[in-house]
Amino acid sequence: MIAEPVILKVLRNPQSAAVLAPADWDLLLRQARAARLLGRLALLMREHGVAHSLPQQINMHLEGALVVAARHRVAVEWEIGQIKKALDSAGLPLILLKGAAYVAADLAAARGRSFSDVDILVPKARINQAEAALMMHGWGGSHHNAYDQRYYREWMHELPPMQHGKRLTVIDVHHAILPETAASKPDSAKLLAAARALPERPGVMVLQPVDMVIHSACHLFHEEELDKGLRDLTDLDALLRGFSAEPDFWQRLVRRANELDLGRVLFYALRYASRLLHTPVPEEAIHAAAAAAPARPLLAVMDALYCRALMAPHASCSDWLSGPARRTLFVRAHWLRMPPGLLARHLAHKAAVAMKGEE
Amino acid sequence: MKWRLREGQALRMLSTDDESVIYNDHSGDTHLVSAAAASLLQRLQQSDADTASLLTACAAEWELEADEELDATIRELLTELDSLGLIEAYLS
Amino acid sequence: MNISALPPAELRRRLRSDGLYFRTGAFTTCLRTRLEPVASSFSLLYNDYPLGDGPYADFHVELAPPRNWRRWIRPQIAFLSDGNAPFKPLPRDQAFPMFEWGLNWCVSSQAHHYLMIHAAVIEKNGAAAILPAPPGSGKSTLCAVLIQHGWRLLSDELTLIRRSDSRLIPLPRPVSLKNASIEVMKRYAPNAVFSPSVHDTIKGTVAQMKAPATSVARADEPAHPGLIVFPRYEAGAPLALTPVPRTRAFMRVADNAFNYAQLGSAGFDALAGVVRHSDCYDFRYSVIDEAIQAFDRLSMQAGRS
Repeated sequence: MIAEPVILKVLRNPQSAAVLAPADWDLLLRQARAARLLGRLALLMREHGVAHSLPQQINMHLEGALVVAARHRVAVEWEIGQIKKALDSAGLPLILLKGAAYVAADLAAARGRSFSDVDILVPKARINQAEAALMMHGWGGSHHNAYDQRYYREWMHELPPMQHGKRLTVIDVHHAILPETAASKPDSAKLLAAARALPERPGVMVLQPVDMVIHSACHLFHEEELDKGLRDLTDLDALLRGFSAEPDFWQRLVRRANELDLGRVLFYALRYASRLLHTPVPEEAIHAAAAAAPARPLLAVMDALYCRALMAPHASCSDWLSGPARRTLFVRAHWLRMPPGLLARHLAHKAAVAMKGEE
Repeated sequence: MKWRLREGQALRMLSTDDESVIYNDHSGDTHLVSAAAASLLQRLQQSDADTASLLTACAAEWELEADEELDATIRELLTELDSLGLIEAYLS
Repeated sequence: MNISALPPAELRRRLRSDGLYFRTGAFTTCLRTRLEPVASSFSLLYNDYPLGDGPYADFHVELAPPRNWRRWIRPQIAFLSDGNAPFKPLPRDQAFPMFEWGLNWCVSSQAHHYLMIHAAVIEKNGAAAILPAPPGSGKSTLCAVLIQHGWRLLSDELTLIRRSDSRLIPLPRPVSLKNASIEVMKRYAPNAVFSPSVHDTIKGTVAQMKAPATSVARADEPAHPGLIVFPRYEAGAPLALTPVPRTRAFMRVADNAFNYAQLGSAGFDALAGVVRHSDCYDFRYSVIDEAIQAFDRLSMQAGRS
């Protein structure tokens, strides 16, 4: 396999950055940049008092990343406010998912991060209302062709991404955390019922802690493009560390994952977070989650695939199997989301569209 | 009902006699506003105020009659600044 | 130690193996390529620049053939920034301009430590003049001319503003010229060093003019703001210098910035710091010598205030 990339060493133990050789510095920045973790790295250096012992040249890049991350955060806050106005007008609750939720709840997982879209969860029965309210407030639909519309609305679990006409920000409106067509069927009604309000933000809700972790894991292990895989894993690590102090957190986490038909996904999450990032997961939790583990031969394959694909997408973190691993997981992700017949049709359609695009 | 600067707005400004460039700490936008709007913002930065007292103060500063026309102008400016997220109204 | 101290064979050996490390102002770049025309233009235009220490570099760039059949048939060249290709490949004879454009891209997409404006910036009498300009305004020709007349070159493309104190940070690199301005400059500055001209690029015919050695030598010396001049070349037009209110200059410069939007309040503060200390003008010219005199007058005023 690959020798342990320096970015993993530093993520596990930020203090170790104080004694890196220049060659390692060089690699660390490049790996962080490729993995979109420059902001997070910068924050870790600051939080662990390492920043002052870094060469000026390195700090230059880290400081720039922090300024950009701060700006992203301002943008997300503003979007949350604007989205809330839109949904309020339709009497709809605002339930944030993923990055925007981390910001709203002021979690460690939000710090140093960049954000692309805002994701929200609405009850399936009210999704058209949500769409209408957002359109009234400046968001327009995308993916206007009939095939894509069907792909998103019927097969996936969300509206096609909606982009704001003026601000160009994108909102993804989900009614479930996995597509209808997927094998696992986590019950959205349960997620909605357990969503919690944020005292500092009236009218803004996020998933309860165990659900937030499970959703993050679900997203990562159903994800097609793993360029952000390491970044998403660091999110998981931050969430787990942050919530682990809650009473009975780990038992409730495993129970809830099973209840939501996502035990396998949690198993992978705990396994790879603890192996790659040394997330402190208690033995009992690993053991309990292992009840949902795949059979040994399959597990060996998944280990080989994910330990490569979750690395920073940089040449220094890859070997000759990394490309094939990512492609295999790409196909797997599609396969998990769609039954075989549908998948074949979908991939054929995408190929046809791609070929037309090249002419 | 009173007006105030939204919390978190530092009111970073670069001004000439006629207009000001303002950075909006909430939206991240940069606005080019008239001197009148800038003056309102600076007043609210110093203290909260209701529309009536803003009318009196601005009339004095700009050497105009505190009449209906000025009142309408000020209300329009306040609405605009509110929609930009620079100021907000509250019940005192 | 400068690049000039490297024997040509050693320069090429480094380019073909672990890379040649060199410094341009605040940045260290590692360049790798097997193309002889690139090595040759590089050593012509960069011989005054200090070698970098390595193994650390801010940018790792490579000029290599793309991994497809265009390696052999009407060969192309790709620009790689740490393994990523931000642009489509270009015909191989455009390799050196592609290196220059690519390195500009690296800085402008990554160096968020600075507020970066798409503008030329030069300095005289202790005050910098920033020349923001969309393509076609004649900014590069004007810049090239002025640096032959006592103005220090900080950059012909990338104005870097330090956030802490709004100083301008030098990034002196070869000046990009295109089409008619290449011949103009060759006549005007017969002793200046030029790269071979490359034809049929997306910008027409392009060539690079070597930065004055004195500018390169002062690459670690920031400059104070003093002037913001929006130039426009208009054949036959009389010289016109029109003051621009600082508020308007601010908005126009922000429009020409690479990362004003991404830096948020830090970007505003950095730019305000520059604009507050600058006299701002629209500048229309047609005769080079008149332009030079006008700039000298501006520089004297700005240097005094």
